[in-house]
Amino acid sequence: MISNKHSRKTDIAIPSGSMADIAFLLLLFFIVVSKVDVEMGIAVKLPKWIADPKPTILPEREILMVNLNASEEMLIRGKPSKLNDLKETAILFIGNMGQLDKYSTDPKKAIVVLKGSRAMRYDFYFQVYNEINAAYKELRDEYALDQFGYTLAELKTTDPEKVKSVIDRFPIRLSEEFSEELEYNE
Amino acid sequence: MAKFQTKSGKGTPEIPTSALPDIIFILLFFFMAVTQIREVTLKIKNQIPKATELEKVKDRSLVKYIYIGKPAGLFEKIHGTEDKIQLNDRIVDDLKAEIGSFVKTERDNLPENKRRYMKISLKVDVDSKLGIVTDVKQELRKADALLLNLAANPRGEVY
Repeated sequence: MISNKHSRKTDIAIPSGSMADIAFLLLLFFIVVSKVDVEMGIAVKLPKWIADPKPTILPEREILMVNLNASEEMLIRGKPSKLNDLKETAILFIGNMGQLDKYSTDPKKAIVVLKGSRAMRYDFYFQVYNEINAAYKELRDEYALDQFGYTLAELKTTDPEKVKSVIDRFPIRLSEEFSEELEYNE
Repeated sequence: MAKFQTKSGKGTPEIPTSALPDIIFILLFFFMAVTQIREVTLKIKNQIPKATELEKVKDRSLVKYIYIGKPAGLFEKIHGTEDKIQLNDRIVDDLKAEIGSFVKTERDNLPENKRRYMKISLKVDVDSKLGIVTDVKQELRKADALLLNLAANPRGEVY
């Protein structure tokens, strides 16, 4: 075999050493101008806009009244409570299924009502909202495990139909009313 | 004894580094695919809350952002110290008109079949007052932008 010999004329050598540098520069540019943060948050579906909403009257047992004020205090049905208590109380209230007379008859009827001041810190409102969502998640998970043997998160990856049935069983029903009073002191 | 051939010190690298730019380009394409170009410079203080019941936002191309917070740094002089709303790059004052037109513009920019799925992500500073957030939500309802995401970062179970 005749081995390859370099021809007399030297091959034109493009200095490829700087290719890597150019690539690094481009990469750095992209890292600097872009953001990689994963978008996370709580999904909310707002109710359709009605110009003149008629107040619906509901039996007291179907309503969990939560009062909040700008000093970040909370009353659950008139009782001073801490943020920790909210989830447990909400679970008892929503998942009651008519057992206790003071709580709801069915999760499809149960409503959590938030009343508060417009001067409240957003973070406080958010933590309250988080707790309510946590309560619903626990109820939904328990139901999903019972019915299908999987948590809601697991079902979301496998069977959207079952997810729908779980969510329909425990729909998030929330009413919010925030008004100008700076202090709610009763 | 076997012959050991020692190469004279020519300085030629044993490992061919010609593949290095290819590796870098692959990394580059990866970054281009998974990230978004940051188009907005925040003019307001925007520390979003930390919470536990969070879900990832799917399909970021359908998400439009509304930022709420107090003006930061230089912008304090221009806009004051009250909570402000930032849409894309501008701080807006007249709420009702602006949010309506913002929603309309962003919706029109989306392909027709996807317009129903447009999500508005509210990135609200932790110290913002709830009043302005409520107003924004009402305006969004009027503009029929009902799918919202309240942006937050994950945290452990800490009280």
